[in-house]
Amino acid sequence: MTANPRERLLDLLSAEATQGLSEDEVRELRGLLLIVPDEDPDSLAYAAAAADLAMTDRISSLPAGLARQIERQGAAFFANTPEPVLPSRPARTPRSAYIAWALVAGLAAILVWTLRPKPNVLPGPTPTIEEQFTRLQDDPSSRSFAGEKASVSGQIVWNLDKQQGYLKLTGLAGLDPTKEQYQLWIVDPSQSHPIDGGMFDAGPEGTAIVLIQAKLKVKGVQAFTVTREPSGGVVVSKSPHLVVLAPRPG
Amino acid sequence: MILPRIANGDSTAVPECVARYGKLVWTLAHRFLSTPVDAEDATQDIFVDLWKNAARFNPLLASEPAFITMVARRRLIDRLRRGGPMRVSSQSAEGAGYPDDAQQQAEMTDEANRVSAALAEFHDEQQRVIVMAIYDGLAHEEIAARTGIPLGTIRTQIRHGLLRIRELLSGGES
Repeated sequence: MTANPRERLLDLLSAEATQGLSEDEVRELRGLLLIVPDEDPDSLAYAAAAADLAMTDRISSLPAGLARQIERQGAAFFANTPEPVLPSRPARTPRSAYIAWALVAGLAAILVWTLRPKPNVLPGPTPTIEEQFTRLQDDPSSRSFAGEKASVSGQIVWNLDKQQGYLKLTGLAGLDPTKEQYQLWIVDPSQSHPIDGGMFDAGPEGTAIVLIQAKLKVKGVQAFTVTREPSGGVVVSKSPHLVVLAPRPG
Repeated sequence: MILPRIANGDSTAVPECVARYGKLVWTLAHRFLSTPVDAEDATQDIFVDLWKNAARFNPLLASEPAFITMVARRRLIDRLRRGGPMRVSSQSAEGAGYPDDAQQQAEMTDEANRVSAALAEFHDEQQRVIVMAIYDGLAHEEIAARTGIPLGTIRTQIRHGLLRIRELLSGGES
């Protein structure tokens, strides 16, 4: 292995673009991107994609049923995500022109999204996220979780069948989202590590109410936890738990 | 372009995005994964990634199909790493030529020409390694096992190949 950080970074980016990286390699990559900020972290993946596309000369038709399902999920995504989660890949160094653009574009997209009228994809008025929380809570197959620690307290409603849930927290410290964000974790006993439940930011009054977006299928939940992480999140957290939300009886 | 509309939360762009790029994503998923069920799951996951990451698209750096292919490849490679068996086929999919949109075709032709220029520079062994790594999606160790080429040489050839493709895509000299 070379001692030159740029060379090692290019090795990792090349591997990422073709065969993926282990968790240790992902952490190493993140560290190297801070040391070598002028390397575009997507450029080799884009090169591989362009090559793949150039080699793909025939395309198969998408099954009709699958197309309709994807369209329905897309409609549901836009209807049920009033505060889109920022891209889950870890934030790259802001000194890269491409990353700065992507960050600004992402924040602008969130600003446009939160200010525009919600599209009426479903009949009738679109429920607020608070209403969606309550509706899911009323579903007899949903489970509730709650917890508090220091100033932070929260509730979660989670429905295993629908793989859907909502989180409400109060008492959060305000963070600079370009540097730090909160990350939700789902403690699933079938997994060796907690599942990433998504990133979120505190509102001006230290509250957050967000849709939980699990990165993997959740088979069971022992608890939820919240940590404070660098913007974009981490694959495995080593940060202390700000709060643990355990199942409520009944 | 559709992704800027998606990034702006325009849900009416969803059916258009599926109609335009569903075939491409499905073809990639079907090529990488061994069962239709896995390919269907992956295709759905890739579109969710697109809804979430549409704001990252920069038309100055990539064509829309190339960006979508990059998002799709990341998801598919991740699935393979998590233990999904892959379909290994270097045969072209049956079906229509792609794309069916003249503007897209022009963008992709320029990109494809640059990639072809890079590939034409490589000797036969390196071309074969790059096709196996990118199109067939084989892990580097597997390429080394199949070809008898040392793993270190494989990694070097892939890295140099991607860097050269990157250089030509960004307008570097041939």
